[in-house]
Amino acid sequence: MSAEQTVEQSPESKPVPSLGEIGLMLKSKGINSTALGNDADGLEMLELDTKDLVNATSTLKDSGFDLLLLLTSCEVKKGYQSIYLITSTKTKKSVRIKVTVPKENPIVPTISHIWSTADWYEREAFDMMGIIYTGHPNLKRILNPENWEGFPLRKDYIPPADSLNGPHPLTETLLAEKTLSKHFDR
Amino acid sequence: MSVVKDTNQTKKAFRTDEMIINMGPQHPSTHGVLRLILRLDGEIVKSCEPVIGYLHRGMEWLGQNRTYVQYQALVDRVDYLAGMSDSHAYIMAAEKITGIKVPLRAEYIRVICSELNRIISHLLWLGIFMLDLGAMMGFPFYTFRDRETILSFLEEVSGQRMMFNYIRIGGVFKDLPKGWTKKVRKWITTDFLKYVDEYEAIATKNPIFLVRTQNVGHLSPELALDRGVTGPSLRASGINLDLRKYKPYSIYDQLDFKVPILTKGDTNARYACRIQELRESAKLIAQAIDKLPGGDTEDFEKNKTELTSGDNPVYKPEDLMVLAKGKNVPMGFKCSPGEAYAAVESPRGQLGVHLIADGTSVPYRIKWRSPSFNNVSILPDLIKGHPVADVVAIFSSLDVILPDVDR
Repeated sequence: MSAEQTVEQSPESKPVPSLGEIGLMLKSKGINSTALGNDADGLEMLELDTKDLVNATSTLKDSGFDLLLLLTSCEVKKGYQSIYLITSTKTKKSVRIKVTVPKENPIVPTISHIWSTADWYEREAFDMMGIIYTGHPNLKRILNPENWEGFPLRKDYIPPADSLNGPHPLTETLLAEKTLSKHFDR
Repeated sequence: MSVVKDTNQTKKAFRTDEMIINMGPQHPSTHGVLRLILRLDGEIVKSCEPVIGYLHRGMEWLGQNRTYVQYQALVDRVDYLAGMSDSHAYIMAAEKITGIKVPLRAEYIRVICSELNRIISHLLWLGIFMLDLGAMMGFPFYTFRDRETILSFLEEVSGQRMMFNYIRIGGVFKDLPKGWTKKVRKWITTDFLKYVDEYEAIATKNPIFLVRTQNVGHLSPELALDRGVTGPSLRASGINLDLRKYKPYSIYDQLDFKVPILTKGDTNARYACRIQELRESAKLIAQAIDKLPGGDTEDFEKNKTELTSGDNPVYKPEDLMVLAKGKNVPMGFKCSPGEAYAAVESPRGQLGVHLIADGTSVPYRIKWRSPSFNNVSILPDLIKGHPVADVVAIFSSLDVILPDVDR
């Protein structure tokens, strides 16, 4: 995939989605959010401002959303997104919350003090997408080696040559010196 | 005998410093390659830091550089002991975005195979768990014997022993072989249940087993939810969260089964929960085979005309296929922009796939919610204050598969 391909968040032809049940609940508590409509499964999606995130998630936890199922990251045209899937084990309701931060300054406040699950998930999002979670107790790479360069799931990431089964840099040097081809001729 | 008077010398002789021990990554009881940095006070674990990522294969990156159909073959490798669940989750997400409807017969076949896969996974876990507790008397051979029987069942169906690649977008790869359903139903309702009784006879009331497992590694329900633990480990702590009942996917709402819930939350409860799940899965398979639309494969052609013809047909013709519209989806089909999260109850917990499509034939973003990732993060809390020997028992009771953690 090329770096130009990005997800269209709200195509202009479609009507602007209105706030769902959970969006209205947050609004009644004084937290504004932008509705992103429903996903293919009918799940409500909301976009929050970065500064409202901690307030909104702790409000949700207090009102029965007790399980942070998934925390993930995504690259969009405007920047990087931190995506939260929060569910309630009692009422079976779920909501997906998105926070978009600019590419030059991808800083999101941590929610690892609200759900401990976020601790490792935020480390993973940092490792893969390079989003920096402020206030995180131990923000370091989790899946990649600590000395890894770049953030693999960014669209402008170029993987090291040898990991793609492509030509290894050394192979090219050897071919240039004709040592390898000599070996194959025999 | 001289009495040591120098107190400094005594302290030197009996040093009580904490010790840092590196367990793994190449340790046989870490079920793959997990590294634990343990801080020990004598034999007691003071703190622990798990280091993961040794099996990171970039599953998400690979998916974002392949078409939807190409990626099908790869997803079984995410959790190699539950390939059917992996496929099921990914393909459900792809089907939700594309809006492909799956034939009813294919849904039943998916459930039969997924439940067989759950038994395989639990049997392997049971053998290894006993081995980790020190039962070196060949217990794993019994469970591996039965696991082998089911592996050969699934091999007949899919052509593969572990990396099945059987569930495809729109249905399943092929119909079940002739005579398969009768054979499986007979084995699962007679021999298999007898074998489970045998395992229980060996383990459940064994005094050594009880000492090693009871009141070891207690997991409270609050901590479990806070850490996102799912699966039998959560249900052994008293929280009723099983996606097959909680949000029934596929055809689980048409089947009658119980979800075992235990309240003690220790290693023994996690063992008991999985043993009960073995029996429930056997029940589910027998039920699904009985209800299979179109019946056994050998009578299928005969039944098909009977069931779909007449004034009041039992099934529509499209219900009795194994692939939607009777054929595979095109290799590089383009998927309309959208977003979906599909989750299944894998043997280890809630296994989900978050898929974002941008209108091309390649997924824009794939994210795996692998249950083992959350389940292993609970380990430092569980083993604190336990001796090193219990680290192995507690870790084993969580049923963590490292490829699933690292993806």
